[in-house]
Amino acid sequence: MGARMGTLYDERLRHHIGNESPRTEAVDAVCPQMIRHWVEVMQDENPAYTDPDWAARSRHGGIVAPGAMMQVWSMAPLWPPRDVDLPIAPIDEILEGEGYTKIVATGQAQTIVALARVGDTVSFTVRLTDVSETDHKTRLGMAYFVTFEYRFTNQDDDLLGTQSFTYMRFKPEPETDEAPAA
Amino acid sequence: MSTDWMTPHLNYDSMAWDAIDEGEELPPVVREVDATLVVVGAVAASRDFYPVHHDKAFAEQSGSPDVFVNILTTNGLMAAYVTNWCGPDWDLVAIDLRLKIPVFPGQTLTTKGAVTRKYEQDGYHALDIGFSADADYGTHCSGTATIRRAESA
Repeated sequence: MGARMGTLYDERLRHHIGNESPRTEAVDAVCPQMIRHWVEVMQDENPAYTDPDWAARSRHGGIVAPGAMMQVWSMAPLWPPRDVDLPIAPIDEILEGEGYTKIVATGQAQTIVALARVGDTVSFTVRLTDVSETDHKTRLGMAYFVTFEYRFTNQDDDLLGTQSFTYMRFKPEPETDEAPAA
Repeated sequence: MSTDWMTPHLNYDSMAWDAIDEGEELPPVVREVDATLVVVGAVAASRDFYPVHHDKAFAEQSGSPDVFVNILTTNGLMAAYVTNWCGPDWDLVAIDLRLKIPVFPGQTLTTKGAVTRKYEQDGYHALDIGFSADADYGTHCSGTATIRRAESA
């Protein structure tokens, strides 16, 4: 099984690594309303996000959006559908076809370079950065790990930050059926 | 835009560099997770409309006992945990999050943290904060956040 999965990587998965989506603009400009909706849930006490007077006097020079919120600007609208060619789509299709039908996110990492300001338009790209060379035994079943990276910029093409995201696609199977691979 | 009603809830004070010790623990923060936090976190705060975060029947069909907190919300809660502690003069520059088990309505999320590294770099005072959040059945997530502040500030 291990050898066959190695072939899957070499023949069908590997050449997708490095592929990047087109640059896609957020549907909304950065605004105090969306920032506050985030702050309400997180109970974020930073006045840079919600106190215009403090923010204006601060090193930010005005209201900024939390860096941890960067991905929110990239989220797809409920309607109408927004079709963006994501480089992870072919990987998902291949792995799904091979029986790795379930997905669980395992982690993410953000690097915050600059904070988006009210009125900014955020754009993003998504690049496929890694796929595991073979499947791995996990608590949930045999799994491939897929990592992609967002890159967020503003309307001046200044880098706001990056965010890598890793998920695993696994074949659900009972633990007791597990035999050591290869 | 008036935000006077919010002012008493904001933190205008920041931790002084000299007052922070490597190894120091951050005070734990306890948050009751209810369906409102899960759904408003996904739909309103992060515009994540995947039904496992707002539709219990859909969540059950996909093998989950209930709707569960989405990653953007977990990340936001952890980021705010760190920056509410250090105050607004510090900037969060990195947050690395590892997800363990999902958290559902009815559970209690207890977040803890500690200063794992205190250092100076490129004219900044910097701190690495290790954090983890435990729910009823075990660890929901853990990770590391890096915050910094200009030495001249």
